[in-house]
Amino acid sequence: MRFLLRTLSLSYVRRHLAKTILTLLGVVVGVATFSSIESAKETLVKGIRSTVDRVAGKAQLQITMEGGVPEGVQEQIRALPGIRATSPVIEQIVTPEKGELGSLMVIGIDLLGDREMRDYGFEGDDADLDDPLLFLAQPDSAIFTRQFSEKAGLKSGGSIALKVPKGVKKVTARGVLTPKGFAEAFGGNLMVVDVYAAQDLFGRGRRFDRIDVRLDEGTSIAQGTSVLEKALGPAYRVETPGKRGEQIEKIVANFVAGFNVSSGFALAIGIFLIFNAFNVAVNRRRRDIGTLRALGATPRQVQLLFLAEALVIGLAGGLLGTLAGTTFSQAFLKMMGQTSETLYGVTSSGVVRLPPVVVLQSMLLGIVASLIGAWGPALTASRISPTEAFAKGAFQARPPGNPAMRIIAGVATLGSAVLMAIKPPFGGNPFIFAELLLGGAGIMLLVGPLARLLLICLVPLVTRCAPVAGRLAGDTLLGNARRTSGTIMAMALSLTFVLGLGGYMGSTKKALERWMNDSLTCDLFVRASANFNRPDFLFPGGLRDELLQLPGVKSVESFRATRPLYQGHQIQVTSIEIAPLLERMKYDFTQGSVETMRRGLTMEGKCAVSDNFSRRFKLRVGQSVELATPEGKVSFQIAAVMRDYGSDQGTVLLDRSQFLRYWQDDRVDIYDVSVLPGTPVGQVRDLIRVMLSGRYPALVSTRQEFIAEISKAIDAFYALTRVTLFLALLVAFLGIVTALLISVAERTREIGILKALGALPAQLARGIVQEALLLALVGLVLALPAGNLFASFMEGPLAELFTGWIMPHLYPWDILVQLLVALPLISALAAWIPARQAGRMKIVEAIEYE
Amino acid sequence: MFFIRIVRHLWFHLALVFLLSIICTALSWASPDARAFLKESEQRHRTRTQQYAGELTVVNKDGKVRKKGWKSFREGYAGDARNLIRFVDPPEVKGVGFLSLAKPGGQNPDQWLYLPSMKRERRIAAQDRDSSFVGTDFSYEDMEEFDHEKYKVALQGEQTFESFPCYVIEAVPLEKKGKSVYGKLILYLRKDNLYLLREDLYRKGEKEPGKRMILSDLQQIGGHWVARKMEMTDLKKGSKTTVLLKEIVFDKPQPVSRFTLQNLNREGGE
Repeated sequence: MRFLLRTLSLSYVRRHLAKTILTLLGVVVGVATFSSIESAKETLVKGIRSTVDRVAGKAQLQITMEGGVPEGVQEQIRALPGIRATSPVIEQIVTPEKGELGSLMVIGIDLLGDREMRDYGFEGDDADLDDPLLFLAQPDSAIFTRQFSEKAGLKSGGSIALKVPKGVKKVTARGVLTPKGFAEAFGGNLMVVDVYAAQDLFGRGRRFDRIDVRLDEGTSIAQGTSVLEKALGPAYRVETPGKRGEQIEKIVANFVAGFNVSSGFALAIGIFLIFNAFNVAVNRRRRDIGTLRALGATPRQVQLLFLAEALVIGLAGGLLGTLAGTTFSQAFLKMMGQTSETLYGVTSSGVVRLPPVVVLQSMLLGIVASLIGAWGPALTASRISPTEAFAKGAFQARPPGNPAMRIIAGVATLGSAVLMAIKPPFGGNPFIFAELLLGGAGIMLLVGPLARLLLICLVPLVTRCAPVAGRLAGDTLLGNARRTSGTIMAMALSLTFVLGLGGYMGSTKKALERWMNDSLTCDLFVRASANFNRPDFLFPGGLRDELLQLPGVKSVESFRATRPLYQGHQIQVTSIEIAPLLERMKYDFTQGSVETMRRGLTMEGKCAVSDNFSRRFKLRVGQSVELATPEGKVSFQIAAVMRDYGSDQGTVLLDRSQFLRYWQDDRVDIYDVSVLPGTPVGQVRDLIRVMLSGRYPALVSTRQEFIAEISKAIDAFYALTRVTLFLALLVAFLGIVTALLISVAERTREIGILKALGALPAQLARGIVQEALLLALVGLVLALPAGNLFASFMEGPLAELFTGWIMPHLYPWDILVQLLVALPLISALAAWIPARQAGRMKIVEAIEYE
Repeated sequence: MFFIRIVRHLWFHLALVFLLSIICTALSWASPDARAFLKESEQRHRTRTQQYAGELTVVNKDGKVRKKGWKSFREGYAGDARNLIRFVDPPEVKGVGFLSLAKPGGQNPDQWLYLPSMKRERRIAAQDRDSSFVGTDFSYEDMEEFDHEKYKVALQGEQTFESFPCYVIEAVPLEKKGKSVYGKLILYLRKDNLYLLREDLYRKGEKEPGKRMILSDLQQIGGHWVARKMEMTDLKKGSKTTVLLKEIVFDKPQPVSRFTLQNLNREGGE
C-alpha cells in the first residue's frame, strides 16, 4: 500500500496540485470553522467556570436570592451551627473608559474579614494594602491585579476612569495583587473594592449579590446546606460554587450550542467537496485503476488505496484546519463574550488556548469527513472492471443509479421528516437529530435527479441566449452527472443553510419588532442599567414620586424584573403597575383577555404568563404558578396568557403591589414615563436627566431609541451566526471553483480540439462562466424550498423545544434578493481561474493530453 | 501496753497533720495567687472614665511609616468597659470611628467600625476578631480591655523586665461564651504597682508568641498610673505599631449618649 501511495497517489497529486489543494481547502475550512468555534466556546465556558471557582476562594457554599441577599441575612446565619465564616460579595462587570483594556470584573468584598474566605497575594514588602484605613475610608479605593495595573500603567495612588452605571467614575489604586489564585479570575482583569462602596456604586441598596459561607471542620456540605436552607427558606438558593458555576455554564451553553449547528454544516459541506474531488479523481484515474486490477489488485485493495489517500488528506486538512482555527478563535471568543454579556450578563475574559480535546476532535473530524466523502467514490473505484476502465467515456456517461428509486426514497424520507415536525413522536435532542437526519437524507437523495431535471429544462433556454457558450456549458454539466450533482449538492446545502438560518433570523427579528411596537408604548424609558439582562444598578422605588412631580409627566410605571429558577429553568418574573399599563399597551392574548388580566392581577392577586411559559411548563389559565419568594412559596393563579418575548425561558407578570408584598423589595429596573399630550418628549427627557444627574444613572431613551437598542442587542446575538453564514458561502464558492477546475482539466483534449477548430478564448471563458452560473442557479432553485423547510423547522419545532416560542414564518425575501445579486458575481469570480486556464491552453499539448 | 501504743500512734498522726498544715500555709505565703494579683491590679487602676488623644504610628519591617491621630474615650474598666475611638488625622480618614461595648458573662464585646464615606457602621463579626484593626498591628480582639475573669490564670514566676521586677502570669482564655484567637497570654505585672508592662500573645497552636505588647513611659496622672506609650510588635511580620497617649484625663464624666451606635454614626461625633 505504501508503494502504491508513493507511486500512484503522489504522482497524481503532483500532476493535479491545484485540485488537491482545493480538496484540502474544503477540509481545512470545515475543520477550521469547527475548531475555532469549539475553542472559543470552551474558553468562554471554562473561563466563566474558572472565574466562579477562583472568586469563590475557600467558600464551600454560596447563598443567593433573586434581587440580592438582604444584609440582615449575614447576621442571621453567623451564629448557626457549623458556620465558620461568612462573607458578603458583590460582582459587577464594568468597562474602563479606555475600552482597549477590556471588561473589568469588579468584586466587592468585606476586607475586614474576607481573609477567612480568599487568599490575597498582596504585592509589596509588607504584603498588605498600603494603608487599609485609607482604603476603607475612601470610597474610590480599589485593588488591581499586577497584570491589569501593568496593562493600564497604574501605580499605587494612581487613578483610572471607569464607566459605571452612575457615569464615568475615577477609582484610585491602593493595592496590587500578585497574579495567583483569586487574582487570576476573569483573566486577571480584576478589581477589588469594599463591598459597602460597591453597594453604593452599583445601587444594590442594603443587599449583596451573594454571601459566601465557609463551614467548620467536621461539618459536611450536606449538613451546612440543610442548616442554611432551613434557616433561610425557599427564596434563597444555597449551592456549592461548583453547582453555581454549572448553572451559569448551562445558561451560556444554550447560547453557544447553536454554533455546533453552524460548524456541523460547514463540515457537511466540506464532506461534499471531498466527495466531489474523489469522485472526479476516480474518474480521471480509471486507467490506473484498470491497470491495477489487470495486474491482479483486488477490489478491496483499490478501495483501500483511495481511503488511504483520504486519510492523508483528512490528517493534513485536520492539522491545517486546527491551526487555522486558532487564529480565528480569539475573534470568535470576543464576539461570543460580548453577546453572552449582553444576553445573560455573564462573560469571561482571557486568551484562547487550544484545548487538547478540541485538537483531537478537530483532527478526528477532518479524518472522518474525508473518509465519509471518499467512501462512495472509493467503492465505485473498486467496482470498476479492467475492460470498463480502458473504455474511454463509458464511466463519465453512466448515470448515477436509478433516478426513480432515488426520487421515491427522497420523497419518502423528506415527507417523513415533515410529518414528524408537524406531530413530533418524541422530543429533545433525539427529535432534532432525527429531523436533521431524515431531512438531510431526503434532500441529498432528491438533489441529484432534480438537478438533472432542472438542467435539462434550463440548458435549451441558456443555449438560446448564448448558442456556443450555452451549449458548451450544458453539455459539460449534463455529460458528467456525478460531478455536477456533487457540486450542486454542496451548493444547495450551503444555500439551504443560508436561507434557512437567515430566514429564521429574519422571522424572529420581525416578530420581536412587532411585539416591541405593540408593548413598548410609553414615551420615555428611564433605565438603571445599560445591560438588558443584568441589573448593573437599580433605582430606589421612591424615585417614581419625584418623576411624577416633573412638569409634562403624565404617568410613570415602575418595571422590575427578577430571574429566579423555576423547575430548573431561569425564568423571568416581572412586575409593573398593571392598571395604567393596560391603558396603553396592546397585548396579543392566546388565553384570557384584557379584562381577565386587569381584574386578575390588580384585584385578585393573580398573574399573567407569556405564551412560551405556558407552553414550556404546560400551564393554562386557571392553573397556578408556584414561586419562591422571601415570604415562602406563593401560588399565583394564571389570569391570562399573552405573547411576550421578554425571556426565552418564559415570563410571569405580576402587579407591582404583589411584588412589593411578597418580595419586599421596591427597587426598580426601568421607569416607563408617558408625557402629557402636546409636551415635547425631548423637554421632559432633559428635565429627567437634570434630576438624575450625579445621583443615579441617567439612561433616558425615547421609545424609538429604546427599540433601536434592543434591536442592536438582537443583531449582536446573530452576529456570529452571520459569520457562519459567510463561511457556508465560502465553502460553496470553493465547491464551484473545484468543480470548474476539474471540469476544465477533464476537458483538456476537448478544449484543445475546440481551439483547433477556431474557438476563441473568450468563447471558452464564457462557456465556463455559464457553467458556473448554471451550477449556482440550479443550487439556488433547489435550496429555495429546502431552505424554507429548514427555516420552518427552526421557527417551529426547534424554537418551541428550546424556548417555547413559535415564531410566525416569513419568507426571507431580503436574503433571496441578496443571493440573486451576489451569486452571479461569486460564480463569475469562481469561474475566473478555470476560464483563464482554459484560455491559456496550448492546442498541441491539449490534443496530446491523456 | 496496747493503750500506750494507740496513744502514740494518734500523736504521730496529729503531728503529721500539723506539720503538713504548716508546710501548706508556708507555701501559700511564699507563692501568692495570680488571680489575687490581677484582681488587685484591676482594683488599683480602675477609673470611672478615661480619655486621651492618641498618636498612632505604624512602621513596617522596611521602616515605612504611617501616622494617624485619634481621640479615645472610655467608660468603665475591663469587663464593663465601653470604648469609643474617633480618628482625627489625616483628613482622609477623619471621622472614622470605632465603638466597643463589653458584654457580661464572659461574652465577646460588640464592636462596630464607622466609615463616614459610607455614612454607616459595620459590625465586626466574631470571625473578624483576628483581623488587623485598620491596618495596625492590633487586632480587633486586642482592642478589647483585658478582663482576667475571661482567663484561667497561673503565676509562672518572677522576672525583671526593663529593670522592674515583675510577676509573670500565664492567662489561658476560658472561651466559655466567646472564642479567642489566642491560645494563651503571658503577662508581666510590675511588682510594686501591679501595672501591666508587657504582654506576649500566643496564637492557638503556636509555641512562640506571635505578637508582643509593651507599655512604657509610666506616669501618674490624677492619682492614676498610666503608660503613655503602647507598643505592639508583630514578631512574624516585623512591623510595629506605637500609640502615644496625650492629653490624658481620668474620671471626667462622659455623656450617656457617647457610647451608642447613634453617636458613632454621627459624623465627627465624639
